[in-house]
Amino acid sequence: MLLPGYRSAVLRLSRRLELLKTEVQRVTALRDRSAAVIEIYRKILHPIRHVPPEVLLKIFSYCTDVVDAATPSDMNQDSLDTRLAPWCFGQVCKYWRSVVLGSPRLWSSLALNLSKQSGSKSLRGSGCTDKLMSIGHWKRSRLDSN
Amino acid sequence: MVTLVTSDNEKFTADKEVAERSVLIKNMLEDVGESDQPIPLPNVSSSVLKKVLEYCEHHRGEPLPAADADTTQDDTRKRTTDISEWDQKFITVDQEMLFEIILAANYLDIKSLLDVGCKTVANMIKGKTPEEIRKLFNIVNDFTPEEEAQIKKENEWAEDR
Repeated sequence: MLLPGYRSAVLRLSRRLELLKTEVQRVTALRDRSAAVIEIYRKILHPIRHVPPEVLLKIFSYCTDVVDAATPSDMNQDSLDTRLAPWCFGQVCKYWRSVVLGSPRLWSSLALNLSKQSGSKSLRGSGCTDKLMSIGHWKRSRLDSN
Repeated sequence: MVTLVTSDNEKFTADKEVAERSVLIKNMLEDVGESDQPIPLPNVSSSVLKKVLEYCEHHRGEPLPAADADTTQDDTRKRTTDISEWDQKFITVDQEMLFEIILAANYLDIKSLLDVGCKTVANMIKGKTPEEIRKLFNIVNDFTPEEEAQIKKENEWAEDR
């Protein structure tokens, strides 16, 4: 093949490459649209949407149950910290928020980390070393049930 | 033996002792009396029932928890989210199956299995931010701008303390 033949072959192949690039772009867009639809359906059909409120509450309760001051792992618990449970669960979606705000059980005990409070300086001055305080109404519930 | 029929019309046979770990099935069997009639379980698929029966078989003979175990539990003691080694291995399934097992345990009234499922989810969401939880479970943030503002206000109040 002579030089003019090679030139026309390069032109022909370049045009073919352009066409293939356009086709790749078209197929990529189609694939991305289908993937987006799958993502929407995954969200709609996720079984967590069918979990009834009482089961969701049970799950939340395992994350928020009463603080035992004798357990060191609980020492970072602070019921007024909205980044922690149960507050953060109420910031996930409307359904979770309705379960969190409609469940007195989740709010029936409070743990206050006094080292984070504004009065902690005075407490330190008083020589108080325990900075975790728990408040709850569980004892009253037990009396009520008797 | 008891015959159970799943939502996808598959038949399973199980020992009465195993099947009766489900309070729902136990009550159904008491209601039908001595009969070979299969028990329909329209809310449970065959893949999920297979897992549920595996759990019941492993825990056969163990004492069943009291119906009001949750309310009588000493509230001053923090409830543990620890799961036994076998249960841990059993519940290591994909997210969809995990929630299907939870829904089946709730429907069939198998308290100990429901507890294992709920503890597993609790361990998954503990310490996570709302955004991380949404991402984990594909949950849509459906708050209105007004609700978002309210949530922001709650957070600001906590930060100002």
